[in-house]
Amino acid sequence: MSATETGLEAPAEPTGRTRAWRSAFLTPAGVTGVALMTVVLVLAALSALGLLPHDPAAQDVGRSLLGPSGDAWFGTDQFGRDVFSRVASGLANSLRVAAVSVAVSAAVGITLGVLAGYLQGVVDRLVGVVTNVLFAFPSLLLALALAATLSRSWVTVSVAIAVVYVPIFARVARGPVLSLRTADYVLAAQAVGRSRLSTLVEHVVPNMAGILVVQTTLSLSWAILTEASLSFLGFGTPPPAASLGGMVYDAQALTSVAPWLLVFPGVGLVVAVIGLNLIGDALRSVLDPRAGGR
Amino acid sequence: MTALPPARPLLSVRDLTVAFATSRGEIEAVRGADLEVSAGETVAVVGESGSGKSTLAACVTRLLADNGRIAAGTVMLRDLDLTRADERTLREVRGRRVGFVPQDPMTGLNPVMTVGAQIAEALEVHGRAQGRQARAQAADLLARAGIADAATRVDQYPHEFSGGMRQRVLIAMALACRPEVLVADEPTSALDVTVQRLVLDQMAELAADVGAAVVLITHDLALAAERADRVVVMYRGQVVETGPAEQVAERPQQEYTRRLLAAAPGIAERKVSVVEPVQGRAGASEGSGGSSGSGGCEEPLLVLSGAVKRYRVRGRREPLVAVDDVDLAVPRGQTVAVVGESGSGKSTAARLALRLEDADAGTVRFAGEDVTHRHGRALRGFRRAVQPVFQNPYASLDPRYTIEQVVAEPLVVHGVGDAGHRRRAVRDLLERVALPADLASRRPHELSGGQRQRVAIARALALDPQLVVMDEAVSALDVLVQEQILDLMVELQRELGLSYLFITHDLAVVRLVAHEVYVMQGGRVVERGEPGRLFAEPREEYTRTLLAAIPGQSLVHH
Repeated sequence: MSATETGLEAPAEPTGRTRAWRSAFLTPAGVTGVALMTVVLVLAALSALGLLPHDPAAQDVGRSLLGPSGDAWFGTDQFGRDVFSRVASGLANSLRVAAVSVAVSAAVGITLGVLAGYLQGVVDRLVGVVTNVLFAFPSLLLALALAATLSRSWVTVSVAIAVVYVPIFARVARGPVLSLRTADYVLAAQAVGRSRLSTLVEHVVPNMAGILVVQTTLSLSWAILTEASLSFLGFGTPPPAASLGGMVYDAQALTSVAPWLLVFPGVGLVVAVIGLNLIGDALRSVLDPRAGGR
Repeated sequence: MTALPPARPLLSVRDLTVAFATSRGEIEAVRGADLEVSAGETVAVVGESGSGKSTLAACVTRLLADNGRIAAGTVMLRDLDLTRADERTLREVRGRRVGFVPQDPMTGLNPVMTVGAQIAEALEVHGRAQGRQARAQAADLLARAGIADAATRVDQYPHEFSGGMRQRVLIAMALACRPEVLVADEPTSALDVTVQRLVLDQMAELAADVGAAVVLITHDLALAAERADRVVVMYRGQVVETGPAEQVAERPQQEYTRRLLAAAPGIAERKVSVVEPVQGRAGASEGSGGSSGSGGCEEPLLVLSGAVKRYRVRGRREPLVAVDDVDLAVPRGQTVAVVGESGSGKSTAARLALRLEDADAGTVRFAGEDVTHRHGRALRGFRRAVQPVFQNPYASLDPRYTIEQVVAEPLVVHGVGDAGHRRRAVRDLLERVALPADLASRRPHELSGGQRQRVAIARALALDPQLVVMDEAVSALDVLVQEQILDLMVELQRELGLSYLFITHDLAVVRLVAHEVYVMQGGRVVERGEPGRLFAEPREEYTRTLLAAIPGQSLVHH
């Protein structure tokens, strides 16, 4: 007798995972997300493999501030660098920073959150204090402070962003563990003789994987934005490497003369962020059917 | 059909068909159902989950789920056809002419409004009273619904009320505008048995007071027969039998009704025989009630002695004593039941026995050895021999596991056999609990509640345990399924010599399967004894209250 009984047997979830994947990704939003991210990944891959039409850092003063053309698809900047190549390599840089920072913060944050929720007691309180202190700083300010103190490279930028995201992951992971640790099937596993650690790995974490995957995807898009903000403020990936935030900053003074300098990195940023968000939403409906949109 | 109702019925459902749109196409939850309710009458609609009884109720209030639609038929409230009424008319009808009491009192009230304000809201919406006057009426209704000190309670918030009191508030709310019909959908199935009875008494009284007819939706035929003037039995969306309560209970016409009746735990035959007293045991169990009864004979399989468990409660200095100096013994091959209401400490006692929680004082002895402080490797031996089956079959199986993985898990954890051996073991275990072998590759959500509980039992049996702890293991199941699981338990006991520690709130079920009963209240064992004796001559007032709360008592004595 469930409270939601409608007189029907609880309708079974669609059988087969593939069906759920299909119904989530074969929506306009899902298709758009996948298409956008494909574009971003192709550009980033071209950059990583050195297949770009021009060297993104190569200057050629004779060709400065040219509009988009057959040779320079997105035009050139005031130093004569190819904007298309710079956007592609900027995207690659954004993705690299986002991937590393999210990987680090997810690994640390999820471990802390899961242990805090599962072990309770001192561990929980300790993790709680640390996350609360980290949460007390505005995230961009904290990243800014860290990026300013550490020597500038894309690695330190990643670390700075990672530190900011650790408490978010810790908190997201702790919640579901709290309810799962007292679930009957977790108790049943312990009563069968599984150790606490084995129960955690086998029954608790897999059942919250959906939430974590979604959180990770969405964090990637936030991390891209944070990296762009840091670069815009001059604390991000140092030149001459291309970064989208830095390009937007450089374009400010020239918007009226060469609008393409602002438009293309901006579009690149938007495409990456929207792509990741749409994929995140689709993943959420596959992996966590209960969350009907927050 | 001999004596037609003289006047036109108050509520008349004719040939009602309701369909739900699901991912597998349209499913008819109610097919051609008829229901008639005269003014002032109580009609019970009885059926198991999936029978369509709640859907039928939802049609009377027109609060059908979004994917449902009334495909055919009429629902006439006097001259008004509710199936054709527009939303505006329905708003007028709801509350004013048809009152509704939901199943779950915990989610039925708005937590940020005082209960008085919520009852007053019902009055104000229909222009029955305003402001101060509405509040006064609310207090009056609360008092009449059986809430003591209603004048002060009316300004309190839902969290300050117990489940039974919240249900009284909801009843007061539903009857606030003196509706002609009160629809109560399993109004007491979320409540403790003793509270259940009081709430139903008060609901009947208040409904009679305001002159409302009652449509009582329930899965319990015994309860229906006791409470209603007429009973309507539903099965798979159809009305299979309808008639005066007494007639349905005593001379059921349909096979299905007979099965329901036979399965009702308050009425059914005992499934186990009284234990032949082993030397020395009979005297002990008839004794003072405190000793664990090991008078020179073989020691019981499990002995809990002087067990104490305290919990810290946030915002309270004194710890809550959940289990207070409890002695309990489970002899080999027998079923020992622990009965009590929520908060009596029975589930905590079970967890102590399972060593899922550590006792603050006292000892747990198993098969003659002290296992109170065993940990790690030494505890694993105990784990093999003692297995749990939990209450909620929807929560006790990992949703990601296949049934085969679930049943094989204990074998994997203890490194029993290789993959091939385990696959055969799983097949044997499924067969043992009467499940088809092809279920092995399914996942829990594809199974029904009864099937899932069988899987949980199969998992519990995987390691050939000596003791199985059933924590409310049949409470969430429909009567017919419940009976099947109880039969399975008894059969396994006979075949494998299993012992059970059977935790339940339902004294009626205990009578069917237990060899010995412990009654718990407030963390203490207040009475124990052989069920036959306990039912015939309870010593404690509390036991008497529990016994009186079993629905269908009057039917048994006919």
